[in-house]
Amino acid sequence: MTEQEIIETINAALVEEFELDAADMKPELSIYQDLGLDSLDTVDMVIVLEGAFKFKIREEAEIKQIRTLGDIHKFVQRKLNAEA
Amino acid sequence: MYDAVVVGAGISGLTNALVLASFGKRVAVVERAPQAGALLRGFDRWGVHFDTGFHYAGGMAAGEGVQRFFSFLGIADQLNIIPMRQNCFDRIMTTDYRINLELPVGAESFVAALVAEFPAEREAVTRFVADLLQVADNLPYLNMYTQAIDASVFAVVEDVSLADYLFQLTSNQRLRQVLSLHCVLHGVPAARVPFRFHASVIGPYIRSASIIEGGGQALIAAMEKRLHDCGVDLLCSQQVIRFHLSAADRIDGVELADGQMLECKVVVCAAHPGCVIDCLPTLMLRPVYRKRLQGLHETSSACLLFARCRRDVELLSGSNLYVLDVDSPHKQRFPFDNNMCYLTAANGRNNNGFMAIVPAYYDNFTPWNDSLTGLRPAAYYAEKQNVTQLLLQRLEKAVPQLDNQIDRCELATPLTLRDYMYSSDGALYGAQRQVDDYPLQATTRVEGLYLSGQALVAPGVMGAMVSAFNSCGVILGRDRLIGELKKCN
Ligand SMILES: Cc1cc2nc3c(=O)[nH]c(=O)nc-3n(C[C@H](O)[C@H](O)[C@H](O)COP(=O)(O)OP(=O)(O)OC[C@H]3O[C@@H](n4cnc5c(N)ncnc54)[C@H](O)[C@@H]3O)c2cc1C
Repeated sequence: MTEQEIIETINAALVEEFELDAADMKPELSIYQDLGLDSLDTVDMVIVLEGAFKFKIREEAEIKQIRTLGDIHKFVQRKLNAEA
Repeated sequence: MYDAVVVGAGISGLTNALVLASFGKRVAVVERAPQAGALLRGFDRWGVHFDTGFHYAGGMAAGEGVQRFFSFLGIADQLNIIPMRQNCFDRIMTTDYRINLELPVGAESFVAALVAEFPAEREAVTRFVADLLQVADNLPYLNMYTQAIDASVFAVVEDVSLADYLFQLTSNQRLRQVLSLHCVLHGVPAARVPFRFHASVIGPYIRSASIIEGGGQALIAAMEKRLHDCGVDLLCSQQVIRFHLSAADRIDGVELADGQMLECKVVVCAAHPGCVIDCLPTLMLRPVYRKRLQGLHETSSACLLFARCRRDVELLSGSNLYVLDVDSPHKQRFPFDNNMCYLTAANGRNNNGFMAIVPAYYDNFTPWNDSLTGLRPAAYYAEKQNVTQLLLQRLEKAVPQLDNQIDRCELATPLTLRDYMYSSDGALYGAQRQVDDYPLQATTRVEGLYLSGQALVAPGVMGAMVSAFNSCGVILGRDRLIGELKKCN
């Protein structure tokens, strides 16, 4: 998967599962303030990413650091690189 | 106008209601069955009372967590807790008669009994028991110093299955089978049950195993009386069909099947969490969460055999029996599935009857899916007869004490369970977590809506009560609730 494909996969999954607006999927936006997720949604976000990439996420500390959509992109990229 | 409406009057719903009422909340409980605690009441047949959904539990001895719950709820003085046989609360037998293992209460004795049976496995057994107790001794609310359940959902999911754990632990296959028998108490197979979840259900029995005099019926009677004293309204034969939302999408009431509306600020759903999907407008739940609720794993179903015996069966006095099927050719094994059968006395006082649980697949009964209790076709009754005969033969052979002792019996199938317990697929314990599932949390995205019940923490009277305290802790504040709980002895 190219970097662009990864980003598209993440965005598409989040748009569908959280009913977000595709036009809002800008990497600099905060998933909490701008996209309206809250801490309750963190588990659901992890489940969506696990479903989209068929990996298991156990990096609790890293997940808790995530603030922006771009952070999610970077997290997934790092994880896919590490697994490759 | 209620502060809270609780959906479901099982042990969890009733506990939620009493906890909220004790904090001065005005509460109603709505139950779709004709009576509260339908699962725990049992029934009378052929002059014997059969307990159904409650036989024994851990944590009820003096000073233990469930006993403290009873005090907190104001029902402790009405319940007479009786210890099971201390030197053998559970017995494990194999059908080749090689193993007849008496499991005693207490960590050291428990280990010693297993080591006596498996002398080469001291290390494995010791570690297994220590690991079980490490979890069991630190369950939230039972242990008031343990942090809240929601603290780290990640820690809970980072877990191995019981089967994988045992595989690492020992190469002795018989020991692995023996240590997996208790899965019948939560209904998730060893390959799918997270070790920690298994430990939270089974571990407490090692510390203490007790019954309540009068069984589940006595527990429900005490709770009903207390509900009445606390001014909680109990509405039976009423089904909640919709949660009502304000313009700001906050809970402001529930709608019942007969059209009645109950206004309230909070709804605690202590029924199967899947019912939330039917009770809310689709748009209120995000697709990911809706899929989680839809995709919950149901626990195993079972055939239950209720039998009356000609004499008291001493073997079952204060003791449960697990029969592990090891020798028989496939066809003659306990019907359907699983190589085990669990037996428990009809009730705490009488051993002239028993209930047997044999895990079974709902699928074996799907041909009669659309039929209802009492009105099923002849082929269903023929199959039921067939299963009964197979089961009786196997039991009488495997357990010599039962040979020629059973004079009346009746089988409940997965369809019976489905229709009496309103559980989909006849699941024994509703939905439960499996490895890699993230646990559901009490809080939902809908303001004012909380989940509770056995699916949130663990099945069993203990698990369902812990779940109720946990949900109330989220609603009222954990420290406040723990503070009050600490005042009880
Ligand atoms: C055969 C058997 C043996 C068992 N033995 C033991 C044992 O020895 N020890 C032990 O600790 N546990 C035992 N258990 C498990 C224990 O009984 C359960 O885990 C526990 O009772 C579950 O309580 P609950 O309140 O979570 O659920 P439930 O008792 O299922 O309560 C949920 C209630 O919600 C109602 N409801 C559902 N939908 C609606 C709606 N829309 N509106 C209104 N009401 C609704 C249902 O009718 C039900 O009464 C046993 C269970 C079974 C089946």
